[in-house]
Amino acid sequence: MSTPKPIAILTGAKALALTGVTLLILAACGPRNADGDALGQGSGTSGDNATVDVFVAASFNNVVQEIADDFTAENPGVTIRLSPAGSADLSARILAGAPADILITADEGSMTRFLDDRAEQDPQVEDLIPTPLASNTLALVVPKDNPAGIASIEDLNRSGIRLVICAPRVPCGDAAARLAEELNLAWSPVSEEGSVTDVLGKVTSGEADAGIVYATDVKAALANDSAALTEIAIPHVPESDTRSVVVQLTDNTAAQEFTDWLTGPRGLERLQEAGFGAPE
Amino acid sequence: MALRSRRGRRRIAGLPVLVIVLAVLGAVMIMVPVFALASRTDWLRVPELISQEAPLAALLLSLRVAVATTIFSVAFGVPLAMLLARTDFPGKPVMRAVILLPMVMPPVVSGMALLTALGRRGVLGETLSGWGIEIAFTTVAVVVAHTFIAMPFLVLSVDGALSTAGIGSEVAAATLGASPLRTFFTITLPQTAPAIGAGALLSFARSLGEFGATLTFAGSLQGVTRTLPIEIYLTRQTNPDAAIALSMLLIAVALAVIVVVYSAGGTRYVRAATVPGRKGS
Repeated sequence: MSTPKPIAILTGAKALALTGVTLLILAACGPRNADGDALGQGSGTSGDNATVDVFVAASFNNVVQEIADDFTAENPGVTIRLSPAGSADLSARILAGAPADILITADEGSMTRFLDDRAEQDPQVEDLIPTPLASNTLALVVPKDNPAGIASIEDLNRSGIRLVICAPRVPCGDAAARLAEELNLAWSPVSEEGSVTDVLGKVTSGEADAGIVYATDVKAALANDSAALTEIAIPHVPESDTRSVVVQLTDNTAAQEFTDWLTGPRGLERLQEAGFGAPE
Repeated sequence: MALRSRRGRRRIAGLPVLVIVLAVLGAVMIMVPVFALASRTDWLRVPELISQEAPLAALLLSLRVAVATTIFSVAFGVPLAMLLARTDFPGKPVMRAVILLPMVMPPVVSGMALLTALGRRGVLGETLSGWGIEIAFTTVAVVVAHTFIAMPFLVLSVDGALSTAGIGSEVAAATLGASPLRTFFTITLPQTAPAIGAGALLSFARSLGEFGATLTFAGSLQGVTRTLPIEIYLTRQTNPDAAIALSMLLIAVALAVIVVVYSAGGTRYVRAATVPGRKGS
């Protein structure tokens, strides 16, 4: 048997050259719209066979889907695609070039941050004016058997109550903080979650004695399972309402029509059925 | 084996070009995102951010939890790996599969599994609750969640090393009259030390990065259950730049751990544990 030939011996320089070539290949496959072009691209141009990409705050996903179904029933040429996620994620994706025609954020703060970041990314872009979409009020929920015997929101001041709310940095937590301030509550939550879904999960599983969520979450949870949890009535504090807004990002005709429908009477009807309040 | 050129530099020998191209692609795939994140970091703000209360509390909690998780993983995982590698009983393959399951389970599923077992209304939790023991929303719950997820990595590493090493030396020691305890300490343990080291490093790393199960099972409260990854996620909601700076903090800690372990002879350990057939020195 002969000795096998050395297959390849790479010197440092050759290896470096190879790395360079590899990087070039990778760079060529990379995203091209680094300058924010995606913001100006419409997915469709006319009412016929147009697609509208709606980036929607997770809490609005179901109701906006219903509204989209109503809309497409009357406009069969239009396809509406929903991408649900948290408002911060949606904003980050759009700024990174994801194609979106419409953005719905759960609160005004998220929209303001998005528009500021967008203007910072490209000072030439045209200013966008968001439209109020709906408002959402807070609700107090307890597990179905109410283990801590909570009868009113003042009971949350009692020591030993396992209260779970959203972290002050997210919209539902910011709203909860305003509620506590207006009602002079001095609660000490055992957990401050990153999303309202996590608060709801802690209550329905019985881990928490009480949670502060949105009225629409209660409605959706009870529609799904009428024994999921119990709602305790609390006074309505307008200061703690969360105002959701919508903004149209492209001048796509179909997107314009859908935005008008969404913020019009037929959209509002669906939003109110889901437990949202009228925009203020 | 590395050849040395006349200039004395180490050269890559005997590797096909294809392997090198794929290796470079593999390295690029991992290094580009990390360097991209670093390039977006506002380094001047890192010291200011770290000295703030919330990130500091999250960092300290993460480190405390990771140390505790590593200790528990080693304390329970090593005996468990030995049981799996050195004994035979009906249902062992099933048991091994279930024990390794948390490695492939989505963390949120692990969190739900822990809730149904140890939650207030869980299978065990209800009894514990009756005794006045409630771990929900405490740091203990975080450590429990992390151990559940991290220990399988240690078990896998040690179990593999033991199976590869075989029982020859142990049988010889026993034949020469060594008691099981003596055999364990003089043969089995030194033989598996590299794998235990590698497994402990993996457990520590897994704990440092854990997010989903903690959130589902333990909650999120500053200084109690809000670990650094949860703090980063929360910060990102309102301040993505600060979140990137915090991410660099996490990466720095992770890098420090890897460097310390490697320079303390961990290289040998980690390699020995992952190269089949090689025994620890």
